[in-house]
Amino acid sequence: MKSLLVPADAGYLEQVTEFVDAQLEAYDCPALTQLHIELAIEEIFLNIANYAYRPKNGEAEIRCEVLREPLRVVIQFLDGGSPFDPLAQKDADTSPEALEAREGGLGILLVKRTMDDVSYAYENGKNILTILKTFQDEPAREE
Amino acid sequence: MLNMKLIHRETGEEVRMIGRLDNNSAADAEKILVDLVGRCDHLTLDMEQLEYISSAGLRALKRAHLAMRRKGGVLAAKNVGKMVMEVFEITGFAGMLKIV
Repeated sequence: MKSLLVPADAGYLEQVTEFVDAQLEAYDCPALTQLHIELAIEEIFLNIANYAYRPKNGEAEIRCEVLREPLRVVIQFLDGGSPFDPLAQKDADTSPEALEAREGGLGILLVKRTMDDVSYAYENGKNILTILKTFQDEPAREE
Repeated sequence: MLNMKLIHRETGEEVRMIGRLDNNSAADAEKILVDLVGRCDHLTLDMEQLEYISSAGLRALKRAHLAMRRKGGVLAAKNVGKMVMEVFEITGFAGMLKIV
């Protein structure tokens, strides 16, 4: 598994995305699958950057591995901030009234719905969020 | 990276959004949209070339939508692409925004 260590800061999002994209490059990842993966990375990494160490600073480690048969990618996000299980929260209310009344909670909902598996563990003082996405064949483009 | 092109149509103002509405581009996009909302009653966002949106981008759209609603106007989205429509459906934005 390849690994990247960066400050848990929103300014490093692009570096994290590029690190994962580089692992996917050799495997001809379908475009829509790649957008889903980039979405999950943005939502998870920004959550860590904005909340994990608040008000202090810290680091985040991202691990990434592509597995075969079927082709799929496993990405892990590790941080040493306050223990927080994003999967233990109730799904955001997506009724129009609720959406208009408050913000937040949509990022993790997007991760749960676009990834094939999401799991959380707290080990050795670290939050570990693991996502799995199988590469999906896309129907031929309609012209 | 997001480009926004303003097009004046007889039916109202239209903004063509090109690229990604993400954490990097959301603040600028929100500023431009809310400013436009202040100057027209009907704004349509053409999303054919908007390939990606995240929750940060949704927040910008929602603020523009609410500003438009407060003044009794309509903010609509058209030509919504696959990834963006999936995000709208998962988050309930498909039921909040006017999608044409």
